Amino acid sequence: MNRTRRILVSTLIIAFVISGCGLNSATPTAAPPPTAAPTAATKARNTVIVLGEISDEPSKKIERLQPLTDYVGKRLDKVGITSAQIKIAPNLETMSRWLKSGEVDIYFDSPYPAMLVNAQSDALPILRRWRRGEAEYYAVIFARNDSGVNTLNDLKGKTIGLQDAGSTSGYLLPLSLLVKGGLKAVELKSAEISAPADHVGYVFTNDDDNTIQWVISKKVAAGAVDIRSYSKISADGRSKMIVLGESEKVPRQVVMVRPNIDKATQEMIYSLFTEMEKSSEGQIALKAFDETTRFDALPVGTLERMKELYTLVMNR
Amino acid sequence: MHRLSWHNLPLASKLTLAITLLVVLAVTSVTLLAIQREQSDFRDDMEDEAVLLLNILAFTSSDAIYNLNIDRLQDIMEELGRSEKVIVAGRFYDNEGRIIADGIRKATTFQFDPDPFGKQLVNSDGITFHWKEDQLLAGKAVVIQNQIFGAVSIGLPTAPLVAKTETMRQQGLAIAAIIIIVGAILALLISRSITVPLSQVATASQRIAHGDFTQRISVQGNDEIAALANAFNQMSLSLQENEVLKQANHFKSELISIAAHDLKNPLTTVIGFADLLRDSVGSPTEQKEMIAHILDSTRRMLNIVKRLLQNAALENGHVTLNRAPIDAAVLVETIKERRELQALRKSQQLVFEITQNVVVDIDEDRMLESFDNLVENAIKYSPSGATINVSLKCSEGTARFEVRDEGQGLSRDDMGKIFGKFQRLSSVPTDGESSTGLGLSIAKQLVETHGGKVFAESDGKGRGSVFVIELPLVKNESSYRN
Repeated sequence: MNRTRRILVSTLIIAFVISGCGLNSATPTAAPPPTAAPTAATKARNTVIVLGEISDEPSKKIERLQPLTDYVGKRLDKVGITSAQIKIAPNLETMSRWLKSGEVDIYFDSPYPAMLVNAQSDALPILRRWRRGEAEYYAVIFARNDSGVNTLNDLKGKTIGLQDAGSTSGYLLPLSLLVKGGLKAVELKSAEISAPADHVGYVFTNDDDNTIQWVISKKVAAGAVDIRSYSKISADGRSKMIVLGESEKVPRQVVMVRPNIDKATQEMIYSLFTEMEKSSEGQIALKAFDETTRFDALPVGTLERMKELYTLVMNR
Repeated sequence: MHRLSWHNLPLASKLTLAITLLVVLAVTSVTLLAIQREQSDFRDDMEDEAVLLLNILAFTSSDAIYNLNIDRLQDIMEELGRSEKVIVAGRFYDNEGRIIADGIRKATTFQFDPDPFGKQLVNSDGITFHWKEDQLLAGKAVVIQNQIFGAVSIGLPTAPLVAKTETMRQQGLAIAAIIIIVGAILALLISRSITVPLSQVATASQRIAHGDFTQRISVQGNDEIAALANAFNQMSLSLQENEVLKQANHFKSELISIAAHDLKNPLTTVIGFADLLRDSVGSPTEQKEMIAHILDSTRRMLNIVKRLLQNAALENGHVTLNRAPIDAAVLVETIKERRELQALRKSQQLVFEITQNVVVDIDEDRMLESFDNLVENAIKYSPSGATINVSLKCSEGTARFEVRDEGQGLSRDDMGKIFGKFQRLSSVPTDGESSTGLGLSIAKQLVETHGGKVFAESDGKGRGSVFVIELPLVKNESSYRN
């Protein structure tokens, strides 16, 4: 290779390392949305509706949410809204604050974080969001079938991989399953730390794919992911796994609106979202938004059940 | 028709083919070695590049590999995929060699069983290379403080190597073809430089074999061929000198033979008559006749000896001409007086046509000998009663002395050797006169020494002949001697 090409290649690699692809890159902070998010006062005057999500990849989220935002912005003029914007929060606390202050009008998340945001902001759950044709989902706890772990009880003194503390299927549901099974769970800072013999240790993997890989690579004895992620393992791979337990089913996602939103607007949003699947424009927007299938009424008691499970887990 | 084989080929073709073959072999070998070396260098460069990339990749991804951070590793793979002209494949492996992120599939596919290459990597020190048809696969274990985190591998496209090799091959072949063509031309020139002189030697040798010792070969340069040509020329010169010596020896033999033959009869006559005179045999009148015979024979012998000496002087270049402008008519008049009686004895008629004031720059005595020789021969070889026309004329700055006889004429063979020494012609003197065989040869040498020429013409055997001497006229005639 000539010298120029070598330098080019080196520069290329180093460039992407510096740009944050390396492992040590910090968790992204919330990037500012493409359009400046209005304050509550200005928003009211400007009749802008703001859709929000929590993510450490704001650009990717905005790209996926933009068609839905455009769709909504054009169809709420009856309630004086003429446009829509997006706001991505880095964490639950920020989103709760924005909902409470009126900076975000509509918020999408899975049931567990939705319950937490509700607790902090009094945001109102009004819709259920289907994804990939599924209204509900559940978590599975699994292990390699050659690991010697065949039941949840076999996890005592071993470590299980969970996604993160804000995940419904990767934290609340599997942990509640363990607790309901009479097991004591304790968080470990690292997979290299051994769990107490009478406890099930858990470590965060930050991603469902990581959880699966950790189990396969025997970094942890078992893992918990949602059933869809588990299904990504090939049939041959799944035949080498054993499912130790399945959680109860919960709604796929929850749509919440900010507290103190006027009734007409809330009803208009409800109507607009539930009718969306009936138009081709609406279907395009739904498809772009992480393969959303439709919106329908949130089953009664969804957040209450989340609170029960949360309480169960917190009090373990 | 000769069957085409190596032995039947000309030497030039053999040399050309052999040298061309050597050039082809040499050029092909050098070209292949050069391509192989360039290819090897390029492979080394690619491996160096792979080492550089692997080290950077291992360093930047070590934590993600250790933590089995699939999402992060996929991001890295995605970035690598954007530079697919540099890297066409990339994989991360866990500490048992399972693929945990694959730049080829660009999607998470969980592998339960270790990948053979990944397993090889986590169990190896340093860099492992696998050269495939379309890529260089290189990988290494990611080891931090003696703990194997996993491994990383990349694939570098071999297309540039293939393209460069192909380019080098084409360029090499083109250059080789040019060199071979030039080499073939040089081979042809070199072989010709050898074979052409050899052919000249062969041709000249054949001519020498046929008696032509004047053959020489032009010598160029100072090489072995030139040495051969020089040696040949020396040989040819030696042969020529030998031939001269041989001819001289032959001449001597002829001379001895002539002397023995031509001097024998007059000497016998002299001795015979001298014996008779010593014994006082015969009357005084008869004794006077005997003395006349003795004198006649003695003059003949003297004449033979003079001509032999004259010829020897001419052969050795010892003749000194005492030249002076003179009217050639004087010479012809002298001959007329000298030869009329001789012709009369054979009932021949000498007819002279003499142009006056034909001034030539000659040695009078020697040229008189030459003129006289032609007339004497005409009388000797013409039959009794023949007419012999002798003329002296001027023509275009040339004096032309012509003797035309009605004698036996000259055959084609006679024409070729008439002016040679001791040549035996088809004609013989008609009245038994003697002949030294040197007269015309001497005449020719004398005339040519004077810058003139002598030649004979004849319509064939029995049709008479014409002998001519041409001499350049003197332009300023004021000082000639009459």
